[in-house]
Amino acid sequence: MNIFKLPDLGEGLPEAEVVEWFIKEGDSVSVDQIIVSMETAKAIVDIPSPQAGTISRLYGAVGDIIHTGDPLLEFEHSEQGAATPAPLKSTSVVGDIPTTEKHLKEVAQANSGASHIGVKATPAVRALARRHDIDLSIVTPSGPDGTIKASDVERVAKIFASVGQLQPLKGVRRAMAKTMAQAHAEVVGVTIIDDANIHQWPEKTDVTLRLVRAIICACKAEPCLNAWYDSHSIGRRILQQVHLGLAVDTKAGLFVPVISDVAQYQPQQLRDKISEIKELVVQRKIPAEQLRGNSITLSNFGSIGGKYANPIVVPPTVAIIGAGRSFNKLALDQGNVVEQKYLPLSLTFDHRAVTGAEAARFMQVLIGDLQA
Amino acid sequence: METVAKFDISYSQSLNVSAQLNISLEQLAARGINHEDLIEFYRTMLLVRIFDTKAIALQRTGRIGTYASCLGQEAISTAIGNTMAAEDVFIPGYRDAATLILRGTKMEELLLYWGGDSRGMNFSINTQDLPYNVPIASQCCHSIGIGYAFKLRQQPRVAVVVCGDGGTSEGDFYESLNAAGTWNLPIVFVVINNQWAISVPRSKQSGCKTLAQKAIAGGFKGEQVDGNDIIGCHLKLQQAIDSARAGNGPHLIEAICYRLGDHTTADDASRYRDAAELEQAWKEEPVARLKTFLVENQLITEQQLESIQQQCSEAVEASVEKYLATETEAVSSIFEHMYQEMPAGLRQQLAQLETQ
Repeated sequence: MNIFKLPDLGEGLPEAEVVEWFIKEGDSVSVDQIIVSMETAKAIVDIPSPQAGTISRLYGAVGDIIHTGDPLLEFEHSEQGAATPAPLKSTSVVGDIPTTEKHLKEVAQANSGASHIGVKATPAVRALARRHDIDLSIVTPSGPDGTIKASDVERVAKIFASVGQLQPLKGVRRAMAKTMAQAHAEVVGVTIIDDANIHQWPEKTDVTLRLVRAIICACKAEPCLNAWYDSHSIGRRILQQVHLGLAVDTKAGLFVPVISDVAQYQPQQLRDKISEIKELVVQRKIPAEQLRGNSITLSNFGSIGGKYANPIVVPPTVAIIGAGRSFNKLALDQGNVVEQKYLPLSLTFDHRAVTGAEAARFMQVLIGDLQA
Repeated sequence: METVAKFDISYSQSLNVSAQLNISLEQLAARGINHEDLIEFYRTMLLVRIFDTKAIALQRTGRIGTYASCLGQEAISTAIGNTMAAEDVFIPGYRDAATLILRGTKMEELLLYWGGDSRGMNFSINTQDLPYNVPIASQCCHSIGIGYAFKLRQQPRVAVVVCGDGGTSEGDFYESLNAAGTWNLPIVFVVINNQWAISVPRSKQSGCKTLAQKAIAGGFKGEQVDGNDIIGCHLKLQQAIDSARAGNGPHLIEAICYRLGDHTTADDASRYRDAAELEQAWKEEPVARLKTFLVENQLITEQQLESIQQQCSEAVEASVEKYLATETEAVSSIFEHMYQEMPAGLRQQLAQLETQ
C-alpha cells in the first residue's frame, strides 16, 4: 500500500475534516504512530499510521474535508524494503472478492448524498465518471433510452477542466446548503406579497424597528405563525413570546442570530441590541445558543436591493417575513392621483401548519401596524 | 404483620484499590489460586489490553469495521475464562475478548469477526461457545436453552452468560432470570456493570440500588463483586460455577467496573462523560492494580514483566498478520450453512454466480 485512503471512521460516515496533522511530508513514521486528527459528524478521532515508512504526500490541509475512500496520504515506495506490507483488508466500503471462478472487483457506493437512482450507464461509463470525479446525475445523456455514454462523461469532464476545481462549501455556507435542502424537501411554503404605505413615516425612520414592532403585533393577532411545527408527530407548539431570527449577511455566509423575547425591549434598547448582535456575528463571536431557538424570522434585504421574494421557512419555524427596498408609486387619494411611498413585503408560511386565511390576516395586521 | 421473606445483597472485594489483598497468599493457594496463576492472570489481562489497542488502530486505518473495546473489563472477563471448565458453554456479549481467548478462541478469529467475516465466530477450538451477540441481552435467552439442555441430559455442565448494565433493563434479561430460577438451571449470569450503556449512565438505567438484586425476582441469589479485582472476581465466579454444577441452580454476579473507552469506535464518550469521572476510574483499573500487587509483594521481577509485555505484543502482531493474510471469503459462501440440502432456487442462483 502506498496510498492510505480515509477509512470509514464511524458507521457509514461519508466524510471527515482534517483537524491537525501530526506529521509532515518527508517524515518517517512507525506503525500505529498517531499521524492525523480528523473530525467526523460524530467525533474527533486520532488516526494511526497503518505501516512504517516515509510520508511522501499529504492530501489535504487543516480544515479540508476528505471523503471516505479518498486518498489521505502517500508513502514513499523505497521505504517498503524487503518486508512487503500486508495489503489492506477489505472493509465494508471497497473490496476485492475472489470467487471460485474469477476475481470480481466490487465497489459499493458510500452513501454520500448524491443519488444515482434512475441513472442509466454501463459499468465502464460509471468507472470513467468515477475517475473524473463526476456525479452521473448531472450528466445529460445522449444514448438510446436515456443512457449516459462515455462521450457524455468526457464532455462534462472537459467543461469541468476548463472551469476549475470544485470548491467545497465549508462552515456556515455548508450548514446553509444542508438546512436549505432540508427546508426545501420538507416545508410546503406559500408566499403572500403586499405593500405597506409608509408615506407618513418621518424621515430616517428605522425600518427594522418598525418591522419588528409590526411582527410582534401580527403575532399577537395570529399566534399560529409564531410557532414550531413537528413533522414527525404532526403537531405544532404555539409560542407565547416572539423569539425573532434576524437574517444577517456576512462574508462568511448567512447567519440568523436570535433575539429572545424581542417584545421586552424599548425601541432604543432594541436598536442597541440589534447593532450589538450584528457586530458579534461579523466578528464570529456570537455564541451558538444565540443562533437557535427562533420562533419567526425577518429578512430585511431592502437595504441591499430587491422588491419581493419567496423567503424560505426553515423548520421547525412556520413563517418568515421578507422586506424589500421601499419604492414610490402612484395611488388614488380621495380621487386625486398622488405619489406615495411603499414598503414591499413577502410572507412565506408553511402550509402544513398555517392556513392561507391565517397568513392573510397576519399580513393585514402587519401592514396595519406599519401604516399606523 | 409478619415478614415472609428477607433478602440481602453482598459486595465483595479481595484486592482493593490500593492493591492490598485481604487474605494471605497461603489462603489464596488453598482456594486454588497460586503464584503462577496470578502471573497468568496478569498475562491475559495485558494481552487483551494490547489486543484492544491494536484493534482500535486497525479500525482507524480501515482494516476492521466498528470495534467495541474491552478496556476496563479485563479482570472480570479473565476471571470467567479461568473459572469455566472446558466442557461448559460461554455465551458472550461483545466485549469478552479475554474470556474467549482463554476458552481457545484465536485473536485472528476475533479480528475476522470485527472485520466483517463471519468465519471468525466459527471458533476452531471452543466450538460449543456462542458467537458474539450484539443485540442487547438476547443472549440471556440463549443461555436458558443451553442450561435446559444440560439439565435434560443430566450433564454436569454450566452455561455462563454475560450482559452489561444496560442489558439488565431488557425484557429478555428478566424473562431469562425467571426461567432460570423456575427450572433451577445451571446458569451463571454475569452482569458486567461498566457504568455506561452507550451514553446512558448507570444512575439513569435503573431505580434499583444494585443490579444484582434483580436475581431475587428470578428466585436465586445475586451478589456484587469489585469487577476491577481479578482475585475477588475469580473466587466468586468459582463458587457460583461450582454451585451451579452441583445442581444448586442459577446465580447472578454483578461485576462493578468502568468502561474506560468509548462505547465503540463509532462513539466519542467525551461528548457526554465527565473527564474527572474517567480520571478517577483510571485510578481503579484492574491491570495496574494487579501489577502493583505483584511488584510490591515481589511476586514478579522486572525481567518477567518485560518478557510478558514482549510476548503479548508479539502474539498480537502475529494474529494481526494472520488476519490480514486471510483470503477474503468467496461470494459463494453466502449459499452455505443455511440448509443441509440446498433448495433448487438457491442452487440455480449459485450456478448463475459461478458462470459469471
